[in-house]
Amino acid sequence: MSTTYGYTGKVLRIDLGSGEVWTEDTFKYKDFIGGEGIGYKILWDEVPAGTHPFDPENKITFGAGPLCGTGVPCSGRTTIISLLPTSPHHGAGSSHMGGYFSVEMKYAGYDSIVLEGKSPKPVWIRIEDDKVTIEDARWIWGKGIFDTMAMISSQMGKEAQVAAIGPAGENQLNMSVIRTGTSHSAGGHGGVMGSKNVKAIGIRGTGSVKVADPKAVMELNTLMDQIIGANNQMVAPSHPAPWAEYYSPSSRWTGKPGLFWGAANPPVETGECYPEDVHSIGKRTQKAVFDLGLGAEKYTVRMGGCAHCPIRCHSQLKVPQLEKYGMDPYVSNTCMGYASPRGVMFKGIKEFDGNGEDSSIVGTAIGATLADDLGMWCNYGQIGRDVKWFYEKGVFKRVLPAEEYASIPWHLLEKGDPRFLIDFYNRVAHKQGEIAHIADGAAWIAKRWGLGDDYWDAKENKLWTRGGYPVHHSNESAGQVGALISCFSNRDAQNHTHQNFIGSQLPINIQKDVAAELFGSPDALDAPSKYTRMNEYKARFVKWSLIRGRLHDSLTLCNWMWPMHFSPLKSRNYRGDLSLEAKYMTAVTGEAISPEQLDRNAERIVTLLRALNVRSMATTDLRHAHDAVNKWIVTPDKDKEGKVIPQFTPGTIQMEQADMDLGLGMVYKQFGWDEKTGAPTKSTLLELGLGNVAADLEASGLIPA
Amino acid sequence: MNEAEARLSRIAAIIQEASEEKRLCPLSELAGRLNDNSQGFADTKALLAESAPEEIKVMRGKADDYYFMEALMTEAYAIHLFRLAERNLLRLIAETTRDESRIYPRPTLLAGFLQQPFLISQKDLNNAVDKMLGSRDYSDIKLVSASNGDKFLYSEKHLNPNHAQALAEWAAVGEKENP
Repeated sequence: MSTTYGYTGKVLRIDLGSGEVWTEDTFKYKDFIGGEGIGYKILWDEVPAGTHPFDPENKITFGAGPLCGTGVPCSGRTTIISLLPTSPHHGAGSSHMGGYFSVEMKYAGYDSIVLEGKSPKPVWIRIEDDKVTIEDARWIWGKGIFDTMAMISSQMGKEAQVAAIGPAGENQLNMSVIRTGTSHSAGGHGGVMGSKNVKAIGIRGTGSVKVADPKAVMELNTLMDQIIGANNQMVAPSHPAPWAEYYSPSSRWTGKPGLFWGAANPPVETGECYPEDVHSIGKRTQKAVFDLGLGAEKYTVRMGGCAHCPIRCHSQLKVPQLEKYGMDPYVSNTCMGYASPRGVMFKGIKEFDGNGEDSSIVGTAIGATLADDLGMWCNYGQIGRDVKWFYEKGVFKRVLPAEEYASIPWHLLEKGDPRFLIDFYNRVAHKQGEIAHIADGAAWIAKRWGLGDDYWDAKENKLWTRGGYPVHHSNESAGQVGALISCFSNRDAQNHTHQNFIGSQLPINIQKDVAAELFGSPDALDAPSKYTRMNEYKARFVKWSLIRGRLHDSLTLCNWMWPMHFSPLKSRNYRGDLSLEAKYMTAVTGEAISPEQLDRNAERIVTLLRALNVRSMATTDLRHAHDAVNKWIVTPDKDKEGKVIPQFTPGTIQMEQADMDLGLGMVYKQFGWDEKTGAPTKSTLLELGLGNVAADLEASGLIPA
Repeated sequence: MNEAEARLSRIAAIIQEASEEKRLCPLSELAGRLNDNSQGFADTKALLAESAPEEIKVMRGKADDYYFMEALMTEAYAIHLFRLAERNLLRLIAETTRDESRIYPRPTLLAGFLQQPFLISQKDLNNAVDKMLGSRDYSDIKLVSASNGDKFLYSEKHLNPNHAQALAEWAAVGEKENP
């Protein structure tokens, strides 16, 4: 057997209906890189149009890429690909989790795992290298994810990595997660696993990933040491530091003298975190303080994170007050995992018998633990905004049966008592009552509960399109660049390529210089909240961001860190290196590939997802059917006196309909899609080697004229 | 090594020590540690002006000169320390605000002045801001509040009020809700 580099060479396939287990050659998918690309290719080839996400005919892929498991920094991501239950047209989408699962999968010998069919009874998948068995899961079905992981680990050993669903996934909530590790949740596909009666995958690998040129990888890692910053590739600290020319209080580079992991024994000082000191990279991001405020310092045990990532962006806390609520005091999470419960408790949080000093931290920790154990997804914070809207606008009172409404402890919500979260999350995750439909997702709940334009068009609801997903670094992130990026997926955009660029925390003139180098003009980037009208350079920025997002989700690299636009070092003129992905690919696989070739492969994946949308929506007119934004986005703000603030004046980030229409056309053109409809043209599909896709669409009358 | 070279070497060591301790080295401190009399004081200043190695930078204040090693401290950080050393709180706050409104651009979080390296007391900060907002010398400096109560300053020379308000609201509230 010849040696394969980067790739293991095998895709593991499991038919849950027949119990058949087999492998296939990864290299038949090589044009689609790995991870997300392979998942979309499988959906196109094997899952018929019109399939419901919970049908046995749907397939779910757990994908790793060729760089995963090789020691390339920030390469521990798992991309999960399937049809999305929250999408009103059940479009394709990916969910992502960090942790160690994908690395273990590679060590076991698999680039991807594909589940298909439906088991007749609850099962879990046990994988130990070549030995793959489908195990009875009755003893863990109904358990929370924490117990499930512990119980599977008790059989497989603590070295095993587990990806599991909670009751939310078992009950096929549209908004449910698949989780691995202490806090790495892939939101959106838990119900798909549940529909297949699969509780978990436990995996143990004793092999390795072969690297063609280990010396070159090590040299690139040394180069990365000069470029990598803090979480989200922020390269300036949050405070004035003697080594730094720039700083920003918004930075996640929070480590500094006098700031500790306060609950460590003994406490660990994050310290100065000089950019040249590779040994303190893991202390740069004191994420507990960033997410929860300075009060979280004393609860911080340490920072956690993913395989092969020096940036530790998940704070691991010990919050003793949780024991009063019958919970384990240890909590781990990051970003929206913490923000989401605070959104549900929209009237604030006060501990029910505490002194209130740290009540927000305690309440947030309760919510984060519950959501992670029950396996609920927040749809990037939408669940909190929905609770607020439905409560305040009387929707709950209108649609819930009177008895059910009366049984819900609204007084706890009013008082800010976090015990409301315990009641709420449990009702929803266990599908108890009408209120559980809040987890159907915005598009479905709008139909079920008769929500009208006021729901969709309310600025406070932040819903981007009628696809039912919210903003995620949208118009607030580089104006039209973020706004247009948000139009192309079937869920929140989950694209940090542009966000990491504008979030570098460097001055605008440096960012504009790099934008000019990349996109041909500094006009590709506007200063925050000081937007200008659409131009072709912004369209190039959009294309770049979409391509690199798909690239990272396929390689699999963390798009919350990559690409490396900037460096913290003045000696590098603050420039990063945007060819690093290709350099690593060349070193790992032994096959020379240029950044342009690699981006072209990722462009193929972007266009394949576009074709999947054409197929699932059964129309070429994606411009109107898929990409149209809700009205609040293109409605001008008003000042306190009610006077209209025109778009493209400093201080407003509102978009304008004609400008968005123009922008969509410009992006379509960048990708070679039909400028009128936004559907891929036959010639573009053929140029990208997607001849079968072109033939299928043509046969269905879904190629633009 | 002649006497001047030896003296310069000693001076450089003292400046380096100060920079390593994240502080500026005033000429007065140098003179004191070198046991200079008034003539020696002048000689030290002249020696540094004529022969200081390039990595030694100087900032000239009203009553003193301040030295630092560029390899150990950026000019941006040294400016903060210089403004602190000059003991003019209003000027420190205003100039920092103007810089940030111009460079990034962003309004300046008032609470940031309570932190390192400024460590201004809340009382002194409140007094300084009150004085500044009524002073003709600082007429470009304005106060803006976010909906969570966080207060920011900005310079109207570089940010208009609507822009400053939007940036403040995003920094204080928006980015925390959209992590």
